[in-house]
Amino acid sequence: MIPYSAYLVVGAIMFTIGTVGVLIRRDPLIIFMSVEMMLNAVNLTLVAISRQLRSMDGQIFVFFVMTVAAAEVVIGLAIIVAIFRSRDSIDVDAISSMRG
Amino acid sequence: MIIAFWVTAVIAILSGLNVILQRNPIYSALFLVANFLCLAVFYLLLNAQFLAAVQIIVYAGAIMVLFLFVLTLLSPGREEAGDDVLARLRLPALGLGIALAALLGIVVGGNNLHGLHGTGDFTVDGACPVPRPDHTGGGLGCVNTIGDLLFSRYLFPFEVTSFLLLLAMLGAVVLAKRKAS
Repeated sequence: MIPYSAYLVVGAIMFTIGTVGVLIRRDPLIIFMSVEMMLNAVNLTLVAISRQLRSMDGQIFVFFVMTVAAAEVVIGLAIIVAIFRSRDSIDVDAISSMRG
Repeated sequence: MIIAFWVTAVIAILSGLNVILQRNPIYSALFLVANFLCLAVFYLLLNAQFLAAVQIIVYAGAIMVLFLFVLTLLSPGREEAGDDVLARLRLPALGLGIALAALLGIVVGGNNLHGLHGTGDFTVDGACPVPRPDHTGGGLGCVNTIGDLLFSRYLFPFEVTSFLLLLAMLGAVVLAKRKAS
């Protein structure tokens, strides 16, 4: 039987990898992927604690997190495509102003 | 089960590292798919069958297809070029990452999480009994348990979710529409 803290450690490592990815990459798509990985790490933590507590609350919460992540990706990618159309570049250094 | 956990954990962490270290965004996306599949295996090991299926359908299916679609739409094969303003930030970022990992390690390894034990609302023996009218006693992670809770205790968040998805769809349509010139 795996101790549930092992799952928490994997979740913590994945969250850290996602954070470092957000900090060191300049491609907004990779930054988005890193954010997705952080969300997934939190989901893993929620499911592990839900299993330990024999409670469904964590799993229901993960269900909602997945919905929010899907909505977030749709909007984020639409914004990236819109920026690419207006500037022909999606380098995050070039997008320093929010003005269209 | 122990072997499955360790193999999946190693693959999950290695693919996660590859997501942020690959130069080509397409490779990053494919490694992210591997990462999502590892998460689905974890969910299966943790009595979350429904979430494992949703993970594969929503993340590895829908979200990654969207990512790859946008990646191929925006000039395939482009590299991160130009003078790298973030290059001098790379070492501090690594230090910050290690600090964050240490902090999370203290939280996970500390004493405050070891007292967590089940209250026994749900069973984990793999069977999926019908939940009682007070929404307890079902199998943990079973579809009938999740459905029972979503349409009773979590009915309002569930309805709000549908509104959120509608708004996201409208927002995507508005953002993707070309301005009339």
